[in-house]
Amino acid sequence: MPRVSRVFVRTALACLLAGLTVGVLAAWPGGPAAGVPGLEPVRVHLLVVGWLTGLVVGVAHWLFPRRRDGAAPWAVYGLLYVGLALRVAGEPAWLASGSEAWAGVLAASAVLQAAALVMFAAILWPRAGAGS
Amino acid sequence: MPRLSTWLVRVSLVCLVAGALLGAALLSAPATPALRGLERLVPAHVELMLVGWLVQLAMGVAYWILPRAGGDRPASGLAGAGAAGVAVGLAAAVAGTAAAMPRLVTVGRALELAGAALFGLHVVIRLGRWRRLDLARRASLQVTRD
Repeated sequence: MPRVSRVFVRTALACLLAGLTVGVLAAWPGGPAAGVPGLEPVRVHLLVVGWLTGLVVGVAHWLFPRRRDGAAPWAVYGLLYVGLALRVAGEPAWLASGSEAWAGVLAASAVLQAAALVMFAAILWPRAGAGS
Repeated sequence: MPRLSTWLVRVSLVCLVAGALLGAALLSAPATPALRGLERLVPAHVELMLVGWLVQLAMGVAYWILPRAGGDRPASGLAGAGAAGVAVGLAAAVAGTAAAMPRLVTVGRALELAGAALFGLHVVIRLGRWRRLDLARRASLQVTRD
């Protein structure tokens, strides 16, 4: 398994634990995160983007017929997880404050994650047809 | 990789890009007044990412990689029909959400269900045939050893 795939899988596992932890906090009346807004969308995106999509991207890079992708998979990794981290920090902060600065952080998160997934699709497209 | 898998994986990548761009628009809405009012498209974003991206990708990889009985993929017509059902159903469900037509969403999701059931039947038949061949091969190996 290539190194980038191992890093994707480990980060995906960390997101699984983080997402389930946020789930506990969101369902804990009077707990340490009581009153923090936006925990549900953060939980869903940690699980669906951080865990499932990160795991799929890492395994796909390992499993699909090989091509020379250079540093592109690492760029996908950086864009995806920095974007997700900005969302995890930005969504509750924006909902609590309504500030334009946090809205800008959310927009940056959106651009980074979308760029990562478009780049991943461009990498995998030719590999999906190889050998058919 | 078989042609059906290539088709399913590429359709799932198209859905990934469409779902990610729609999600980016939704997440950028607080900072971009022109994008406000898109909240009604949240179900379309969920449909594209869950069914369009994850389900179709899993179907494509499963069709490629699950065990083959004697190098064969039996009942592949069922897999093809199932894949088509899921894709058409997904398109109907997304269009129904965008056009605020709940009945079209219902029809789309029923087609997704029917497609997934056909694909599941292909998997059950394929694994059953592989299991029978595997048992027969083990039995003949045992006879040879004895």
